[in-house]
Amino acid sequence: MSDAKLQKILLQSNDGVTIDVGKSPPLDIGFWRTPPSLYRAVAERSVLIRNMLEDLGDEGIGNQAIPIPNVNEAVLKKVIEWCDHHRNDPVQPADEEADTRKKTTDIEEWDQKFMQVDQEMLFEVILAANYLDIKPLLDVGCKTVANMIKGKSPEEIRKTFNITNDFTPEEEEHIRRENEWAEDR
Amino acid sequence: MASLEELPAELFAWLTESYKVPEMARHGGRNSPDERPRYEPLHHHYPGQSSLGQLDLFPAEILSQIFEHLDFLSLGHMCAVSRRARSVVDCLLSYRELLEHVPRTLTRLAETGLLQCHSVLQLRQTLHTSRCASCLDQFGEYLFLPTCERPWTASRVYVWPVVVRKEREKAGIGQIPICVASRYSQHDAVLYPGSASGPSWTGLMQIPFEIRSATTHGSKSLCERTDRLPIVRFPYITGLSVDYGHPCRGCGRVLTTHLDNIFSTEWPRMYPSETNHRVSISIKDAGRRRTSTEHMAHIRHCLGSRGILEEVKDCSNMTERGKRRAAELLTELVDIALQPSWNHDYDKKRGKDDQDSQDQGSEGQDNYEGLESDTQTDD
Repeated sequence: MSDAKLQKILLQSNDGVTIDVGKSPPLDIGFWRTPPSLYRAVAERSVLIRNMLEDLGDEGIGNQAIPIPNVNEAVLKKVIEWCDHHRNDPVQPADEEADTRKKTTDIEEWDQKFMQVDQEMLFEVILAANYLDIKPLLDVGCKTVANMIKGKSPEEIRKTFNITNDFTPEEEEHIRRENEWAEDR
Repeated sequence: MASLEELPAELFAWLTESYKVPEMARHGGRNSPDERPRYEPLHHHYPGQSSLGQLDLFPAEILSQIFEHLDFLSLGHMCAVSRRARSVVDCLLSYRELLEHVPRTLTRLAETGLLQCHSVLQLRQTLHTSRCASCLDQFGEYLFLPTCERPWTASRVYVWPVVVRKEREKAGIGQIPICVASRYSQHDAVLYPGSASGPSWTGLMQIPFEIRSATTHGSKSLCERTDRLPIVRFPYITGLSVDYGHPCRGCGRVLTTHLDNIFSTEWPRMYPSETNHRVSISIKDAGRRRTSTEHMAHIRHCLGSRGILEEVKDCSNMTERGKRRAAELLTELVDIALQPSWNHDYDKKRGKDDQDSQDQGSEGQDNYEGLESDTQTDD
């Protein structure tokens, strides 16, 4: 098994573009050689890919690209950019989901900048994160969308997401009364 | 003095059993404050064409994840957006759970203008954590509204200036001064400026606790009324049971019995040192609440509870009236109000078993041992 084989993880988007994920070069100084697990760190942010690599083993993958049928090139690059920045974050164990989801609605500064994209791209990134099973990215995406809703009136929310109001005036009045307790008094 | 071990097996089984029925604690429980439920499920039929606009791209699980990060005010607005939006919000598990179990907390949050500060997820996580935010080894029976954390006692609370509404609007939650007050000296308080990152219970606990006369405006008027304290009794939810915590009647009894004695100089010589030690522990913990599991473990070795159990043991061997008294005492001890049917069943069972116990006294003991090992693993 050669190292050249190990460091390369190719992902193929649904429009046929292949992207090399193991792009950070392995270190080879004196006695220190980057263990294969480290240059896989980027791709392994995705639980889907991590499980696939574990199941198939190095021989099984070889130099083949892994097809990601639900994600296009631009979105895949965006997701990889996020994974690359967060490659050294501790991996969360699957069973501690409740604890690891942070209580606060704060988003890290880098992530905030990362999420400053148009609405369509943001939604695509969330869907890709869901498909690839990247929990922290999904979480950041959901928080960003939640922040888009927060503090807005129903009419403003409708405008933001292009939603048609299908309530009758009576129903609207009913809902307004129902929510009265929550309004700032 | 009677210990729990000396009680007949079925009596103990009944004692344990009464904790496994969540409805009892919830509806009949003396410790549940009167909170009227506000949640009404939606009965209208929604036609399929109603939409969420661009949000319809997302599957239901992502939508619920997004909505969990919203606060109740925003969710209220979301409900008013479209029929589909409303049905998604209505299906949100944490939303329903909070409306069902802690409507009073939500009303208090709304009154203090703090409703938009905490997401549904945050509130739900606190609801499912029992520990106090600062000491971590005690049951936190309240919710501190500004930070959405649990302090364990109300005697030393952070008083958040609810009345300074104008300042709040100007500065945002993080910059609001917080003052620390004691329940027993309400006119003394310390005012701390809020930090940029928002007030945090754990952060504030590190400031040495000192009571000084408050010089800053606003704090005095605040502390005059205890119902203005920014805390509310907050249950803890495990599985299906709603737990408001149980104060120990036994400890309360010890406190009332010994209150005069503890100040006397004779006190150290009154009892053997071990008893002395346990009395002081009971007195110290008299006002404290414990979760059901903790409470069950506690009454096994609590001095006052053992006294009550001794009385129970005496009563239950006698007449119909004695049995009723025993049931009353036990109810008091486990802090759960019993429904009459339960008393009746218990009486019947007791009567029957009294006859049986003549023949099969040793079997009861065996049963009990099994029970005990169960309880220990739970602990």
